Amino acid sequence: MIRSELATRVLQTALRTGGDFAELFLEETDASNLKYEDDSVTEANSTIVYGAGLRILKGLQSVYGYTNDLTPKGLKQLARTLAARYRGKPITTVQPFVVDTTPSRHEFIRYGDTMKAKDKAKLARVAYKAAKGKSPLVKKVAVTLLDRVQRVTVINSQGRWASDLRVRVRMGIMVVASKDGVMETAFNGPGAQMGYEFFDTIDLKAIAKDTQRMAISALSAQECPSKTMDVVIDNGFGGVIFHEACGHSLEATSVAKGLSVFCGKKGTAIANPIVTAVDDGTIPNAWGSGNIDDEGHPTQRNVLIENGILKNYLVDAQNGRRMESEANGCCRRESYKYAPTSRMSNTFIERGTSTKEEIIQATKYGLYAKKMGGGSVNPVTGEFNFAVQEGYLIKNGKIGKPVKGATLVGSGAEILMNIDMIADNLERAQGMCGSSSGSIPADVGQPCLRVRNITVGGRGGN
Amino acid sequence: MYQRMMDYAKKHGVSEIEFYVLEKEELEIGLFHGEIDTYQVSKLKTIAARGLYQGKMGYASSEKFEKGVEKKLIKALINNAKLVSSSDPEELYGGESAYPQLETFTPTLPSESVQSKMKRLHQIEKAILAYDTRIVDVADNVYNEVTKTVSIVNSLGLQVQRKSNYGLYYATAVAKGLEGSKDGSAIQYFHHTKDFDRDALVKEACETALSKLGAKPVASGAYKVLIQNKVMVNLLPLILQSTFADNVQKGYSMLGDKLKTSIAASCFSVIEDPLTIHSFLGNAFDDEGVATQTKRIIDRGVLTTFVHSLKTAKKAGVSSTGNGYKAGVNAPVDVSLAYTYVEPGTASFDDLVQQVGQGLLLTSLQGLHSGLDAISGNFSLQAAGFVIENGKVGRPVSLITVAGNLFTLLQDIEAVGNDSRNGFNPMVVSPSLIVKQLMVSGK
Repeated sequence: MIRSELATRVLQTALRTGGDFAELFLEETDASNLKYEDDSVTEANSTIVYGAGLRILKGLQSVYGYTNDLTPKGLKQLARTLAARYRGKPITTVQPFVVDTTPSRHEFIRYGDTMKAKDKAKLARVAYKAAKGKSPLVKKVAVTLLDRVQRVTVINSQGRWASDLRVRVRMGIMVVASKDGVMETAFNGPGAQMGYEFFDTIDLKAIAKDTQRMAISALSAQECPSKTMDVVIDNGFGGVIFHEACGHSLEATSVAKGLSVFCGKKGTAIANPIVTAVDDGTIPNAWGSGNIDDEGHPTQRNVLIENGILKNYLVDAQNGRRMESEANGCCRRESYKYAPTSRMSNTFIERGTSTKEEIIQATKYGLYAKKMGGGSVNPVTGEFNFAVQEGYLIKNGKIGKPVKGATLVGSGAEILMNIDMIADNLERAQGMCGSSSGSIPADVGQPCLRVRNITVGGRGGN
Repeated sequence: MYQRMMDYAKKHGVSEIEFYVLEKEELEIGLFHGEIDTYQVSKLKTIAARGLYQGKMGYASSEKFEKGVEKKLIKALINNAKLVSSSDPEELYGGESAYPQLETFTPTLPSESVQSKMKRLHQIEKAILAYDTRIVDVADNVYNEVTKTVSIVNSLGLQVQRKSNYGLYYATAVAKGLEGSKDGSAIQYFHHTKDFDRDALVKEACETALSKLGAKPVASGAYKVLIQNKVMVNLLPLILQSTFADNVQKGYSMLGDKLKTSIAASCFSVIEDPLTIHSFLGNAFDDEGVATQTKRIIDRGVLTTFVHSLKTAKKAGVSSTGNGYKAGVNAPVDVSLAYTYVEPGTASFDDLVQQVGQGLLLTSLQGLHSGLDAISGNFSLQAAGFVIENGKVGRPVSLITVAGNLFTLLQDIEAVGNDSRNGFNPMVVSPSLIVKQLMVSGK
């Protein structure tokens, strides 16, 4: 994407007013989206994302800029504009580049742009047909299919030159069911860091049918009562609770500024001793993986919590300066339009020793959250909220009637201590995580687990 | 350049073609603990094309302005159009003879020095820290300035351009009490720096944070609720999604069969005013070049119109209402709204509190993207606010959830205040209002 002479000149220009570190991030991404509704393709769109971001650090200060004018003139202009924010003489020079030759962990076979358009439509139709089925209760099905081929190169003044290829596909299946003026929706969104061969590895029809089942089952579900109760959260997307309530508060983005509830807690117990939690950007073909992060460091498997003890934060280079910690390969961004920062990749709670059956049996009264929806958290207070997409009441150790409209509310620090049983059925699920460096693919995950005493909100009275 | 591309497109079977070009410049400055920790500049030009190929609309866009990329774009557009199998007819628009002139751009914002903008951030930080001994930190302190130029040209002769800009300051104060930290944020958009009110920004951020200290849940139950203006502006767009004709046509709207009927209390009216007097937020035309118009979408409780793009209007056999917008430059044209507000009533905020008597003041709703289903209108959301007792605002409340349904809520509105304001989105404005009852889950 760029010659090394030009990269050197741009980085040199960037450093000429006393910056101690400069970094170029170049990106070219081909993206395509398809929407399938009413048994036809209603939208088809493709985009080329193309440009460069330049970052200059000086101590704890940082400047960032981006442009899609990648001519020598455009890039040098950007470097001059940014360098003008600092006053001083050059204190360092650009080191000779050493190209990172780490082999890729991921195998990609059928890229988006090598797929025939009609084969993409066929795939969407398979999901559409299965989700629609024959039930008169299914009012609408919308299937979206997206693919991305992202090529990035990170070049910095310390001589790092690293490139990565990230190929992703994802399908979204939404079902709207309706009866007697009541509408319920359900969603599943399987994806991976793979080409279209991903769809050979999953049972797409089964996932589509399951989405339909969730929407229809919600129609007859009763409104969830609102009270404090024990909640059994099943595996897979249930991990969103750890991602939102704890993961974000372990990112250097909030820790470095002293804004996280987990500041200064390294080495101390922040969770029940049965809890071990990991962020792993190295898992082959996982949705949130990369060979390198977006500052060019190799991704890592970072143990965040081990047997309840806080072991590591997620640290990027800039916040690492504030925290006096090394970066650990977790710095990410949506595109060159965002300055990178510490983010999660594939984050999950490790297996426990119970079984799901044991956990249900051990619960006298509570909520079984089979499928979680999304949620959000305030990193300052640690307060979170999550929607339950599919839930059931547990009575006397048995799963009972389906309930809808439940929301779980609490604080991250509290919930970690209140996890008292973890099963052995670890699974991951895909999501998009939004934060200061944009919206990025991230896996959440966990085995089935129980949390004591969560505030459950619903419309079903007390 | 566009003429050449249009010719190329036509030669390859694209009967009509349109180019939408966005040029965007942005400046962001952030201050943390007395130091500039964010300084971000950007300059970006994106070209999006859409065109009719064998009657189907294909879209493609690119940020790569290199030789040969036009052809790549048109080829992609054709491939995308070939994929489309929906039979809904689509069209482009040739434009109006004239559009209202709005003052959407001011040279005074970009011409002010960066130093002055930074100086203001330092002043904000100092003022927040000096506001109260319980204010311990400033979590966000940001200046943001955006200049956008949108140009649309098409083969039917449309040729329009709008250039707009705004500035904003955003700050978050952190207050510390015996039971932990609470934060409070404030945002102010402006077109001229002289309209920026620093003291008001500082006061709002600090008072919001301080007022939350010591917040506790309330007992579960049904409460009469005063929804604060800042919260209502977040609910309004979700309610209005059901008036978008594409959602109606696709069966995603509970209001699909409610046109010309009462869907809300008679004290509730919603007006879209793209030609707003706050002209820097105005739009004389939508993203398809159709002239916008001021309209009452909900008039004294009655749903008077759905809002349309060219595509949905053609399907419904009506004219576009000038509501064809792209969610982003790379997105297809969908239905959306420009500057929209709830018509204010006569009661002041204090009057509303008094009218509630016993109940709850809601000042925050979290998780709108997950705990609220905009189609069914059902919601169950994390909330915070204050107890209302004997017609006065009492102690702070947090970690509760409120549950209800947006469409029931509309019917249950008992009074609308006169304290209109915007929230994070400057394009949506609402006063506070009273709702008869919502279910609260607390302790």
